[in-house]
Amino acid sequence: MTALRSRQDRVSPIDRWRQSSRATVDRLAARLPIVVVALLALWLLAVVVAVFLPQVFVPGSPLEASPADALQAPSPQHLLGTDQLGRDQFTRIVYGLRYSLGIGVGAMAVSVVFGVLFGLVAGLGGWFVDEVLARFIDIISAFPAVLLALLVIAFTEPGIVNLTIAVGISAIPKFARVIRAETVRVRTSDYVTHAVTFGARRSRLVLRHVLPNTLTLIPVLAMIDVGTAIIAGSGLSFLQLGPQPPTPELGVMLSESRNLFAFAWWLAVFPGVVLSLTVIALTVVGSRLQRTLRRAS
Amino acid sequence: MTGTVASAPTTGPAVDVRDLRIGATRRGRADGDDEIVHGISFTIDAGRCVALVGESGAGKSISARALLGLSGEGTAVTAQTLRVLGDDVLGYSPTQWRQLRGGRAGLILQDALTSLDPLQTLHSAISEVLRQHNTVPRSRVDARVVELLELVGIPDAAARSRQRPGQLSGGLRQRALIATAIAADPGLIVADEPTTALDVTVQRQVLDVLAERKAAGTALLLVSHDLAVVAEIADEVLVLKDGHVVERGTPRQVLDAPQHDYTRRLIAAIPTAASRGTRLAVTEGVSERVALPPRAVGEATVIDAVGLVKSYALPGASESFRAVDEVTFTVHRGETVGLVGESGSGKSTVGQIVLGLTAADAGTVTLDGADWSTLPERRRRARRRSLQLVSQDPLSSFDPRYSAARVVAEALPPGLSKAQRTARIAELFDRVSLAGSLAQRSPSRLSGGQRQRLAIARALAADPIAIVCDEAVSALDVSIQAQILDLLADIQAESHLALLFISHDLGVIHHIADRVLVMEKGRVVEAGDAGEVFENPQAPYTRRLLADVPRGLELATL
Amino acid sequence: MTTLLVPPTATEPVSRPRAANSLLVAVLKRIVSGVIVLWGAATLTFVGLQLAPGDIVDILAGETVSDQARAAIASQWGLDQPVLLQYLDYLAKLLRFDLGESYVMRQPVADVLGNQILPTVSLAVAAVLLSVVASVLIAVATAGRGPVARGFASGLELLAVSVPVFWWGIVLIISFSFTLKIFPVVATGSWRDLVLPTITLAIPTTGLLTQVLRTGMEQALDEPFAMTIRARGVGEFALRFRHALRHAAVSSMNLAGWLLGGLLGGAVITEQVFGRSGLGTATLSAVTNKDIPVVMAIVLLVAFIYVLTSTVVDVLAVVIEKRGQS
Repeated sequence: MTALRSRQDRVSPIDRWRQSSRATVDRLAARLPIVVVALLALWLLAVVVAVFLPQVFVPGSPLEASPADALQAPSPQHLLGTDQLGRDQFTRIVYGLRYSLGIGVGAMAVSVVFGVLFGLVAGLGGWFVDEVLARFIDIISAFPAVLLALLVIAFTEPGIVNLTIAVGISAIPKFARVIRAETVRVRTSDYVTHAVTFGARRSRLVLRHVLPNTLTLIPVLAMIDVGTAIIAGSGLSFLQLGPQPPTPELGVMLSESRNLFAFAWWLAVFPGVVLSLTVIALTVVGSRLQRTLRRAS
Repeated sequence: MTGTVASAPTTGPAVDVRDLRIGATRRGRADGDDEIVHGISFTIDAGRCVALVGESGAGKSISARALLGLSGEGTAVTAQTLRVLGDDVLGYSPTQWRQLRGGRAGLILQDALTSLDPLQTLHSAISEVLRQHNTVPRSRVDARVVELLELVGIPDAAARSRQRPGQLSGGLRQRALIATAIAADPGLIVADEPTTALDVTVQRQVLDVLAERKAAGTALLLVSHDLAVVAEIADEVLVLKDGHVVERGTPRQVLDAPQHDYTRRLIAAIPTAASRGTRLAVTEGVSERVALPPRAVGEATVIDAVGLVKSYALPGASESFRAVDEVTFTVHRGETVGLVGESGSGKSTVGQIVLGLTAADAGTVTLDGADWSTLPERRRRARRRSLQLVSQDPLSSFDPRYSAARVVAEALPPGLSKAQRTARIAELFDRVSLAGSLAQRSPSRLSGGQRQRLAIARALAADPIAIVCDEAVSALDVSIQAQILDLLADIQAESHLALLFISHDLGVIHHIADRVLVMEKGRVVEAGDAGEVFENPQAPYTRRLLADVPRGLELATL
Repeated sequence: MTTLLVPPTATEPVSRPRAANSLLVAVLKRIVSGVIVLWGAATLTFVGLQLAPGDIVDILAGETVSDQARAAIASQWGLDQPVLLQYLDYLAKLLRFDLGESYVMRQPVADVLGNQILPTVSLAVAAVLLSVVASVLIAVATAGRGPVARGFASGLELLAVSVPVFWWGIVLIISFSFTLKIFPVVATGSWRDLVLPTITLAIPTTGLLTQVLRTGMEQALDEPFAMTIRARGVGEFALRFRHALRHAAVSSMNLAGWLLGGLLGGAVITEQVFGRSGLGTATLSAVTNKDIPVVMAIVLLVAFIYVLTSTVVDVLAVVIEKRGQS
């Protein structure tokens, strides 16, 4: 790293949008009264419990069909109504969160691992490596997420694992770009330049300065983007490309009951509300959490 | 344009301000104010200039902008009297303000590059003002735009009017900014730091335009932290500190016979030829300059640069651009060599080459007699500590995650025990007069002066034989700058460090340098003993550079 | 015209439009870049196809089991050739705009897709128009105003991007089609069909655009030149609409390619929700039926649109930048 080349900063406009989007969300989240944030956090807690210990909320099984009770409106016995096979919707939603969240978190893991890997290699590597990886990332981002996922599933089989991988792959460019940009920014920053004047070797510069400063970005990116992954996953599930019925994933539930909306509004509304609320909660609480952590450091 | 200004009041001063108070409001509530400006009063007659001077945070900008109702959101302005061009503006509605702004009063901000909409052509900008205030009938707008541009001395006005600010050079841009402010022939111009961050030659042009406007009858309110600039053009000077006026008078009165201690210290802190060899930071109550410890320039050559050349290829151009063109100089032990030039002269690049951060295309640098620039980085690394850097923005040179102590620790030589490191850090903090309690603080919570001290402490931690200072004091307030310059002088006297001081500020260089190199467009046009070069400049460029420096301070004595 | 001023010295550089040469180079660079991305996309889909589990011949052959028949089918579709040849053949066909033949429908892919394009494109265009108008209005109304306005806008944006697009569609159908009976549930061929799907598709895009525009405008409003413009007596609305908006638009222009891609992706889901036919449903059935050529063709089409839009926008950006500099 003797002559610090300044590489053309490929700040994608998409990244600029994500920054501004995050900034908007952060400001909104910061301004919300603490009561609202607390309620959302409570909701998240409930969601987590539902994912790991659904029995806490519902005694029965989501697959238990009882045709006699089909299509009943919300009532004391069935808090959120029943579907066309008589299954209790509340139970199904509670179990469904497991799948929806599972897809979201799994996809995020995939995109973080590979995105960070690509980003670091591109940012630290030579010009050639950077160009090749950048082109590769460009190609992946030429496809909208939905279509990329469709492509992956077309080549494999619809299923929950493939869906998770597909959603994960489509989010790789986002992480790769941000990490790469940050790596380059730190590499060419003033403090790294100064460290060179103290006789620091390249390995030391990378380990002591570049990596720590770059990797602090990750938790931030990850938490808030779980929401996006959940939405993408549920959208594709809605297209029945992921978990298949009778799996109670929220998107699948919505697609199953498509033809019944005219008669059974509860089948349409509740899964959607739960999904949206979870994503909003993740976004807002994540933003506040990150802010609090940053203040504390 | 005629000699008299269209909107000048027929009776009374152009601006009448009495007991101006500005407070910061929180969430629109008027109480719980933090008062920023505590009762300032002044008047400006037509054709006269009043200057508000002071350091950052003194409240001068906000006071000046309050005359146009632009003190900012979240501020509350009250005064006993606030009259602009004969009208009481205290209770102005937004509509009334809009009529005043641009029409009867104009505002000029610092740095036209950011003060003009880069997407707007000059023609569009000026005609926007004309249309807003119906200054001329539609049919005359184009002609008027060209007239105005010519008035401020922009050649090829008709063609230039179709250009955007980014396409003009610094000087023309600044003139264009002035043109937009005077387009509707206002009776008052408020100029907020109009010459800061500009090259000396461009500064001169701006001052000339403002003087011309003054002669034509416009009242001028000038805000600046640069006393020299103010001395040139102001009829009355108000010195502000923390929102109060501590002194007022004509420039000559304030500069030659300052009454208030703060003013005295402020003037004393300005580095000039007269301050050579003495401390700039004068303590309270002291009326004489204190001499700096004597410096002995040694025989040994620490830095030897020969024939440095560095070119950059411009995209789309056939020839490359020579940033550094055959530069040769030496720096001895205990010596301060000043490298001075305007922006784009290549001085920073020379610094980068000397430090080994940029490879020169040709030429060599020898450090303490041994090869330096020709060595591969592997071999050079061990000696890197001998040559340190203090740059303009210390904060960006610190890892944002590090505490102040860790910042310094990073530069310490390896092989010290923890106890030794802690002791050495404490020693260094003491050397630069940084309180030990700041050691665990994040540099982002230190003041500008403290940060620069930290940067110097770090440079010293590496135990260097030479330090390159690249615009190290350019971003500091005058009084802080004075302290840092004194600190550097003390350190040099003790450790016999060789100092390569890069700056665009002629006064600073004149104050501290033993020898000077003047650079223009990559070449050294003049070199020699500092006193000689500044008093008897030989090269035409040096002469012009010195001629453009605002005078008025040379005669100031303590 | 006499002035007392010092004329600019001879050393001041006179700016000369250096445009032509470097502009051409910059444009060419971007076009080349776009072509590379397209090539990469095509190759990637081809590679994916090769790596995919399952034998294509099985799909084509269907029930037929005899080896002879299978061999015949393989050679008919060119699947018995070495991979490299298949690849080159594939590329050659693409250059001729030959997208191959659908496995399922036994028709040229171009025919299969041909009449599906219009409904999707009209939906996308309508959604874009609606988004742009809505986001400009909201951004201009709320940028840099009081905390209430901004909080309101931020809240809307958050909702728009946090709620799955298909759920918006569902909610709209239930409210307007079933309950209020304003819009038809089943496609009737009239313009009314377009309304709800357009609004649905436009919602996430509007949320996104508003975020970008608002942030861009607020950044512009924070710049020193905003104060200079206010000092000219220009009002707040004119400041936003005439100045800040332009800055925000310029800096967010590059998002166009990405936005369009996202819009097409959203169209797939929206069509499903509303039961419209179009590229979306065609893609979906191709995927479920493993009609690979159709899937690849659609994917390439989308990539092409994205690259085309991005390149055009990039070129525009370069032009604008060159106009503002010497």
